[in-house]
Amino acid sequence: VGRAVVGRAAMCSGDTLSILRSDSYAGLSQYRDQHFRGTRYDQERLLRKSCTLYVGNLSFYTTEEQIHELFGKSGDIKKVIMGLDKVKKTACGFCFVEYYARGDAENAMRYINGTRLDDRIIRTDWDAGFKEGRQYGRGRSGGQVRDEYRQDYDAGRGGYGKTVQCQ
Amino acid sequence: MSRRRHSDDSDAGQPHKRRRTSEPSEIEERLESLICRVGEKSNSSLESNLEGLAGVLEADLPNYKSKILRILCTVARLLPEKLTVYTTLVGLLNARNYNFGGEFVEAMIRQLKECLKVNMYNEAVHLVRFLSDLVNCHVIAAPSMVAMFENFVSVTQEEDVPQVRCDWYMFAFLSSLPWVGKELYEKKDAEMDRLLSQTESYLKRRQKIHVPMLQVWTADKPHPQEEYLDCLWSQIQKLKKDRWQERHILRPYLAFDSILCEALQHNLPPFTPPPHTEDSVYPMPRVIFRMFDYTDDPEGPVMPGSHSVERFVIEENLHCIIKSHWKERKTCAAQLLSYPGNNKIPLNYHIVEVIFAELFQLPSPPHIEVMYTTLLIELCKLQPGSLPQVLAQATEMLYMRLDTMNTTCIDRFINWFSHHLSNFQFRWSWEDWSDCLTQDLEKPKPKFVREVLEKCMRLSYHQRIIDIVPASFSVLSPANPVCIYKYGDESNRSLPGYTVALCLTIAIKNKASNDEIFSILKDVPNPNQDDDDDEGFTFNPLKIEVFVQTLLHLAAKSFSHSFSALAKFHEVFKTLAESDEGKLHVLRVVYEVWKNHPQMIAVLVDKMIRTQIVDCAAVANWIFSSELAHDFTRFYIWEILHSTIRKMNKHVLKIHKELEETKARLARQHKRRDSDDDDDDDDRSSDREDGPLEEQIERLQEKVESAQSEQKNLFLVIFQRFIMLLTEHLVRCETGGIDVFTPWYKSCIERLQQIFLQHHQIIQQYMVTLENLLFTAELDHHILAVFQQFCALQA
Repeated sequence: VGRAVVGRAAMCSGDTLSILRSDSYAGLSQYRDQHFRGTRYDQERLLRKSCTLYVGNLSFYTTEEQIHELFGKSGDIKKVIMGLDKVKKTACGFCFVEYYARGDAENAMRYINGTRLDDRIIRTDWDAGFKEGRQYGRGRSGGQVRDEYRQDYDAGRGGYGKTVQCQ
Repeated sequence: MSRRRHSDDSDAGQPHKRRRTSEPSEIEERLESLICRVGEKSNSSLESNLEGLAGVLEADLPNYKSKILRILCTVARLLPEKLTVYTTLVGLLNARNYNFGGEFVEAMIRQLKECLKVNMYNEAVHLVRFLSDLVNCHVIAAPSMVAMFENFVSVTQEEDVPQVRCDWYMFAFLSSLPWVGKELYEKKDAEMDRLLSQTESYLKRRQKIHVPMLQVWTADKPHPQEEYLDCLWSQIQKLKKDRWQERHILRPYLAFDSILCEALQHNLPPFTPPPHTEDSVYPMPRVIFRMFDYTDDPEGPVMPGSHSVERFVIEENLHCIIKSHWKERKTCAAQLLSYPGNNKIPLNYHIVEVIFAELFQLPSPPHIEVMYTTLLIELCKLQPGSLPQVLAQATEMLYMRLDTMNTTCIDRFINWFSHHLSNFQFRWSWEDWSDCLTQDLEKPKPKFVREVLEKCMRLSYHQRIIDIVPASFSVLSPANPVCIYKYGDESNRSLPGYTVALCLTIAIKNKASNDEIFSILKDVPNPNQDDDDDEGFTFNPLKIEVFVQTLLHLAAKSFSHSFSALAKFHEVFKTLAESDEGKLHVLRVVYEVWKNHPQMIAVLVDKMIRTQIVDCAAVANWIFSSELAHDFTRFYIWEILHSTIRKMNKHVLKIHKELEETKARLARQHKRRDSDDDDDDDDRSSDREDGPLEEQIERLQEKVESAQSEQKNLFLVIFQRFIMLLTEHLVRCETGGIDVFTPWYKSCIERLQQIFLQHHQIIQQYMVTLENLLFTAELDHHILAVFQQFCALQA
């Protein structure tokens, strides 16, 4: 078996076609966390081997259990870390999902990103890795930045944006 | 100044140099792109694109011949859905350059031999088909192709080889005939007749014990689940009866007939199939999945019959498209929907059938299950006016046939349907399924609905499910996933351990340490013995009960809370669960607390295995224990068991990998030492360098052996428990004179099959033990049949 497997690998790695190599869902997005401590190069290196995904556009009411059920479809989950409002310490619509294997995270990017959870289209992106403090929203009011300034009404994300609410 | 001018000169030179060194790879990319894109939607006709491309490639042959050869061989192997486009291209090149045609054929034969050597049989079939279509393009002489097929078919005469080997060569021959049958029969009808009659006798004598294990439904109505070679043979026989007239395949070469028939053909070199070796692993047999026929879409184009060669070609091509584009869901959906001929065939039905064929394939789907859910959603987005209806029709049909559907396939149906609904606000006409409400809850239909609703709840929340189903369905609705704490109520204060539970609660809330917990638990009497044994913590079920109930109750808020609790009090858990009975009891208490929340049970069991509070064998024994008998047929139980087995398998692989890596490090170290050291006196110091690595290897070797032994033991325990359980049922039925085939029995025997199928590669290693120890001739034939079917899979 060993010999045959090595032969197969040698055959496959050299000889494929770039149209078949295309894996656009699993690639890096344009977003880079501005709070990342390190060089751009370090950040991208970490993103390319990361097993952690950022998940955004969640409803404030979506639970860890729901996230575990959905993201468990692409592989075994090591940890889910819910994003919290820095002031209220309640869920504020994002989370991190860490897998044991990068391949499982890639499948989540391919098949769970852009589908619905709690009736909302959720978005996943590579994350360089959880560090204490990153579970908090970075908006001035304590939630996520996107909820500070948005003008629309979103029942699953606290209604109007914070600046609109303060008017 | 002069220096700058000098550098200016060299700068002027540099871009030139840079362009020269990067040119070849750019050219190669351009060539690859040109070749891959031919056949796609274009303003010009396919014929003019092919002609143009042939001209470009012919001009590039002097400089880039080997690259062009490589690219063409690769598309032959990896883009079978565009087979005839590329055979036409090769035909045109051969007509312009005979030598190139010859070199291409040689390269293809080399590639075919390589594929067979490394067990890449699926790709080898594509190569064989490509070669056979080259006969239609006047590149290969028909008689030499027939000769190759004669060598293929003669493999069936080999002795002492696995049937799956003969099967593959037969499949490679038969599955090429839709493309080239007509031409070969016209040129060599006597030889072909002989081959076909040899085929018929082989198919008659080959054994098909494995078929029941691979069928999605056990019933033959409305569509029989045929073994793949039987189905293909029927299709080829019908094709022959139709005088080899085949009208579905797009054949661009027909437009170039005047050019191609002028070309000189090449003879295939005599091809001897490489002999069977111990390392050879042939493809598993398959059963053809059919769920639609022409009556299902009365208003649309007619769906080709199950024994028509058109059906075969369409299904092959759709499967190939999915295989090519599985990573790119939008591309995959678009490519499926733009399959040529989509106004002459009910394409949506074919697509849905092919996708479900893969989703329900036994032993496993070719791709990860969630891919199919998302692909179907993409297809619905692209065809919102038609595809959702076909999907709804398919769902309805699958529901109607649940009674005879294989349990593993029902699992996949449940997962798909619930996930799909969660993307469409759980909208479904549940009332259409009210027939299941009057049935025994253990029957497949009500069981299916219950499991679907439970999964829907996991993706949303309890009240949502209550809201989406009619009131009559409440009997099938999932329980509210709340924790059951036996010491919670004042009315329970007479329970033994109640006061300790209260004490523990307060202590844990006050952030007690593990030591403090131990000392509180000391006061718990052991119902198993008269005197309290303080020496070591022997198995004390009451201690376990009080501790685990209380802790899980306090941490009930979320998964994270529970995981933190397990981590914080890991020491206590390890001590209480030190013995096998302890482990089993921990699992029992977890179940008692969380029986309303199967998802929580699953994640807790997973965490406890990973932190070594319980081991895999304990989980297996717990699943087969009498306490769980009530839930034995529930989906979550089998998810837990298979997840447990997978963890065990991954563990073994991980340590094995570590061992191989350490061995490699040692080998590299030796090489380094040998290459730069000629001095014998340095032997001792180099031994010292090796020491730690060699020790490590020894330790890892032991670890691997112990892990492999644990893995084998796990499977043996599972098989043993199955045999006991099934035998008990069979004996009871026999003595009571009742029918063996209850819903429970069907579920249980198919769960046993599922163990074999889902972990077949590992289990193959244990065949001798299984045959001699467990699946012996004395076993009831119902149970033995499962083992025999499994053995037949690679026989």
